[in-house]
Amino acid sequence: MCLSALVAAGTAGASSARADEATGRWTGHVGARGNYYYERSTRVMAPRADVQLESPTGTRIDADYLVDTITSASVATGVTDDVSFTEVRHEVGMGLSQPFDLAGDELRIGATGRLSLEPDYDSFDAGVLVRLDLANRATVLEMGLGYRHDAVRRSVRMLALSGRLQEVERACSDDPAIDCGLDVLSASATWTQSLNRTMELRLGYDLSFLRGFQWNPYRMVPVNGVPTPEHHPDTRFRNGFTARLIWHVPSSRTSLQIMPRVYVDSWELAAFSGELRIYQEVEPVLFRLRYRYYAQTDAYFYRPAAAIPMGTRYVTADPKMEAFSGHTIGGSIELAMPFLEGTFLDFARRATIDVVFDYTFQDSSFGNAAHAQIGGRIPF
Amino acid sequence: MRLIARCLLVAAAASSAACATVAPYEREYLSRRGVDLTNERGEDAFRAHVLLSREGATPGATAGGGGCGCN
Repeated sequence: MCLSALVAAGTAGASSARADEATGRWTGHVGARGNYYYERSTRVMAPRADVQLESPTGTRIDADYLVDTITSASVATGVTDDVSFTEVRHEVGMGLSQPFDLAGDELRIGATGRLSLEPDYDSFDAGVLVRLDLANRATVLEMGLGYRHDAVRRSVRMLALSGRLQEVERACSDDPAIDCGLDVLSASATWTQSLNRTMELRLGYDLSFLRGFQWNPYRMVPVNGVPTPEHHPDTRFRNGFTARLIWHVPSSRTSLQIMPRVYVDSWELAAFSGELRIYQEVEPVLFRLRYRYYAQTDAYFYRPAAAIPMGTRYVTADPKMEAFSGHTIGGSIELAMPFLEGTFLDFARRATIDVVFDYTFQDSSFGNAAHAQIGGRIPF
Repeated sequence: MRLIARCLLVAAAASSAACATVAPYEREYLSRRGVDLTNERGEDAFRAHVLLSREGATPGATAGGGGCGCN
């Protein structure tokens, strides 16, 4: 079945065929979401808005905008522990895709772009996505390719002649030989398979190659008591293997998800995460409980500060490079609003509102963390 | 060894199920709110950004951005 569909895909003409072509109606949704993240030394507030439009012929346009407002007292953000400061990041994303009819199956080809700007870090990425729906969507194959370029700076507060503190931009390092750019090439592939009427399995693989500046320009490492700028290797090759099994139990309207992930990279950092989600429908409410376990080994160049000999090439105090583990528990409530049908708010009868809360217990230097979200979505 | 054998068993089961057709009228349960996760994309996007700056094993395809200066 799959083989015949693939052969047909290769020979059929690429023409659009959508159900909404008959009505000439555009569909889509608008959404808004507030995010809050809290840990010992960092708070993040990040409102986000997104919109999706789909033309009668299936052309899909996505756009989203996010503002991160980060208040931190961490040395990792460039200030001393007893001083906090606020930094704002703007992120804009765009996507455009077009479906092609392949003898009853669908091929969708799309492109994405994303721009993130903040005082000391700019990032731009672009990607191409290909999705092939086979056998009435029982099999979905997706592939993605991406390129990202980041530019890193230091934003330093200096005392101006006027006696006031002033933000000054500096290169990422005092060493002029260090390139302050980071280039990333990435690729991903996923295979989603409906196993039967109630089960779906997704398998995925992603890899990326990074070359350039990959450490924190502010962070200093005490080497024999001498503060030394952090320095990681310039190249990194990363691999992630993911799976997701979903099982819906019709009699109780319960859905279960199991999501394991294994990760290895060329810095000899290996990680495992496993997540279990339980969804319970009690119309018009959807309850969700989630538990996630995460554990990683340390990178090959990670050493406690007291154990770093003078002259060591790569030094780090990055908590992400150390071995640690964590447990996240959380819950969410999503409310659908079919009861608005026929009222003056009829336009929102398919809308949903949700509240999410997660708490992470972990033994990394970042400490425990709380994460809350409130969001809404109106399809049209 | 037993773990590898179990993994192979799961892979074989998945392979045998591959290309099995679930007709459109049989997809009711796979379209339920607890199965169709398109609603969670916004939630997952922010969560992925948090993990990017707090764990060493960020998915390679995740969009970039330094976030809080802690690349």
